[in-house]
Amino acid sequence: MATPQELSDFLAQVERRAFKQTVYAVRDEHAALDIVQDAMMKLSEKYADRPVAEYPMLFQRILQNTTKDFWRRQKVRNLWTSLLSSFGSSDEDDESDPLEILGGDPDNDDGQPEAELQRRQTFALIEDAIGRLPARQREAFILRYWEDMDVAETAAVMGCSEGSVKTHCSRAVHTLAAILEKHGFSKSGM
Amino acid sequence: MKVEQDKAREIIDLLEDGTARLDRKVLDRLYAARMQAVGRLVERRQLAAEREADGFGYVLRMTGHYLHQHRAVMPAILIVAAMLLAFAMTQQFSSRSAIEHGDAFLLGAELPPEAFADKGFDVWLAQSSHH
Repeated sequence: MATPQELSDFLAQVERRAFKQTVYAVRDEHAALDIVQDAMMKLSEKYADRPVAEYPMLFQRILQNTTKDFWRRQKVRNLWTSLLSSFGSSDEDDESDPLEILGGDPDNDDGQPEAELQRRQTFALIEDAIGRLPARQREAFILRYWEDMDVAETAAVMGCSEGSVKTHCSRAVHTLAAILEKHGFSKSGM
Repeated sequence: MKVEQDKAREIIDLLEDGTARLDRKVLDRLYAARMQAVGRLVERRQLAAEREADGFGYVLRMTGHYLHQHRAVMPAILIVAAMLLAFAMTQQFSSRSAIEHGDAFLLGAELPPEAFADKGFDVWLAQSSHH
């Protein structure tokens, strides 16, 4: 059974990666924050009695299910929006700004050294490339390499075979490496 | 395989580097979410400890709390419960008198009670009455 301190340490350790991972999936920072918060609450409310060693896999599974719930709600909302929009024109332009979704912090770009700028550009490029990967490849890549899970754990979280995990990971790495090379980031440049 | 893992590692290093410099607002929000989750755990653990320490008293207190919270609907619940009880009691008495009538009929009849349980008796009676 985990203590509050252990839960706090675990969450502090994974929260940033969980946030980025969710942003890649939903392409909306606010929604990603809500999803991560939901996942944290579910872990705390339902699985706090489990050993801390099980937390990484449990949290990943909760995060993925919460993201899927988000997509389901979006689907229903989009359906209603499209139905209702046929009854009247929507002049409101309060949708999120695509530039915000693409990330970056324009306020801090002024006066940055060239190396910093280069690093930011590389990061943005990788993030964009990861965001464009097929969902299963992205999940496999992130769980396997970013969350440092082994093939069996990744397969268990994703609910697929170990062979599928290997295939997804291999394809994801090749795609990402090819994109980076295309933009002039060779192995040494990375 | 090794090359693939090396490439993946390099990409992850870049991701880690970028993620380390998240926006302050995002970090604050993540911190608040974490504190809320930990707070919920602390709350649940305290409740569990109270429950364990108090035992039966806790159950009574929770029941009292529940009744107090739902006091507006309590008269309606009591009336419905009384009606259900009255219905159950009338059913009980009426079925008892029906059984008594049945027993009196069986004992007062000319035929033995086994005759009514015998399925072939009615057929035999019909046939013999034709003769």
